[in-house]
This record gives sequence, structure tokens and C-alpha cells, in this order.
Amino acid sequence: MSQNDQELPISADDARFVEKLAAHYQPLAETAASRARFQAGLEERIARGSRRRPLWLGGAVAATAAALVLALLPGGELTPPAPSDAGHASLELPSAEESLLLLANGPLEDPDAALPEDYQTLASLLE
Amino acid sequence: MDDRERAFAAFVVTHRRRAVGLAWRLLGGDGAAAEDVAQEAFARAHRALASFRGESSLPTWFYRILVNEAQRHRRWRWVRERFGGPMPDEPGDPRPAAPGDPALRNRVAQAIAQLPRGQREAFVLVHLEGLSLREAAEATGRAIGTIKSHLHRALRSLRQQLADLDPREDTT
Repeated sequence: MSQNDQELPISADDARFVEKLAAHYQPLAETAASRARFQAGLEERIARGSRRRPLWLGGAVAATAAALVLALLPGGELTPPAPSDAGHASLELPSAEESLLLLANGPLEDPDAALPEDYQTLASLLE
Repeated sequence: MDDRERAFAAFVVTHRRRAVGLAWRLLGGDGAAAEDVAQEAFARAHRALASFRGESSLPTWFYRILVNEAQRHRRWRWVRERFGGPMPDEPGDPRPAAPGDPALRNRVAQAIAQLPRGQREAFVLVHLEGLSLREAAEATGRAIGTIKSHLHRALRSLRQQLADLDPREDTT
């Protein structure tokens, strides 16, 4: 990563202010202990993530299988839910493309999965 | 360990320090939170590596994940402070304090933290982390013109809030 000065018009005065501000806002230097702690924490998170993987993988396979069974049944074309069926409106089956992407790359967007548990608890209380 | 894992491990070694530093600056100088956010960003990057399409450089792609993770942490912290009350059972941060005058560092941290999200991210990425405008635009998902505008406003706001740091004050 490099700073392209020509892209960034900043006066000499502003540059001095930024320099001064940056000098007072420096993180602590890395140590061997902090490196080891970071690496251990990261490995634990990655391992935890791969343990979770079979759960959503199983769900995706089950959803794909259910979609195939429904599509193959006589007269079993997938139809949108009736307007009165609002309680089931959120139970949408993934498209074939979405299922494949899910199998290949994991959930397309799962922002809450990484949130700490206490946040998820709070969020569920607020819903 | 296969080639992909080896490449990822090398990527972590190369970018760990900068990632923690960037998170530290985005999160108001909170060392424990910065470490947590950087770890989570690396873990998410590891999970999503297969979906990386090379539309931006790998570091820029990663910094986008990191910036989003920092924002997610800020939201979580806000919710926790607002609805969860104080957390007396939380252990204190065992890390030593960062160097320099702690009072001044807190003032700078607070002034940066009070900036609107776009201004804060642009200022930290460009002025404190040294990313180019294009890299900052890619890392935040904003247009270069928007980044320039955020930088201008952030600088104006910080100079007002931290007028005693202004180099023009030194000459008087």
C-alpha cells in the first residue's frame, strides 16, 4: 500500500497537523507475547468456524434435496405462497445457483454469525 | 498444510501488525477490541478466501473486511452500552498502555471517534494508515470523490476540536 501524494491535495499546514496528531495516536508496539496470543486466538477462531461449517452445509444440502423432491413430484412445481400465507412467507428455498454458491463458499451474507453471543442475545430480545 | 493455508499464514504474518493498528485507530485506541476485531477479520477472510475474485488487491479486499468488522464492533459496543448497562465482571485489559501522553491520546481518540463513520474511516485509512485515495475508496466501498469530501470535513472538524495541536499555535 502506498500513498499517492498527487491524488491527495493537502496543504503543508494540514500535513503538519496530521503528523502531530498521528504522533500522539500510536498503538503499542508488537511483542513476541502479543504475536503468540494473536496467533493462538486466530487459530482458535478458524477452528471454531470450520466446526460450524457442517451445520450450514447440512442445511444447504437438505434444502437443495427438498427443492429437488418438490420439483420432481407430479404437479409439484414450486409456487409462491398465497397472500394469506404470510406466516410462511420467509421460508424461501434457495435457487440452484444460490445452493451451489453456498456449498462452494459458505453463506453469501451472514453478518450476525460473527457477532459475540451476548450481542446476539440482546439483538434477539430487541426483535 | 496445503499451499492455500501456507499463503494465508504468510498473509497474516505480513499484515497482522497493520491490521491491529488500523483496528486500534478505528476503535478509539482500545487494544483488546482491536485484537479481537483483527482476529475476526482474518478468520472471516480465511472463510471467504474462495470467493475472492481479484477485483481489488488481496490486502485491499482484506481491509474492507476489517473496516466492516470494526464498524460491527462499534455497533455491538453501542448496543451493549445502551441496553446492557455497565459490565462490572469484565476483566481489565492486561496490555500495557500505548506510549505517549495518555490524556492527549484520549483526546485525539475521542475527537476521531466522534467523527461520522465515513469521515472517521477516510481519515484513519488515508492520513493515519497511508492508503491512497483509491485504496481507501475500495476498502470502504465509497467513491474517490466521497473520500476526498470526507477527508476535507474530517480535517476541518479535528482542527477545531484539537486546536491546541494546531502547528500554527506553536509559532505564537
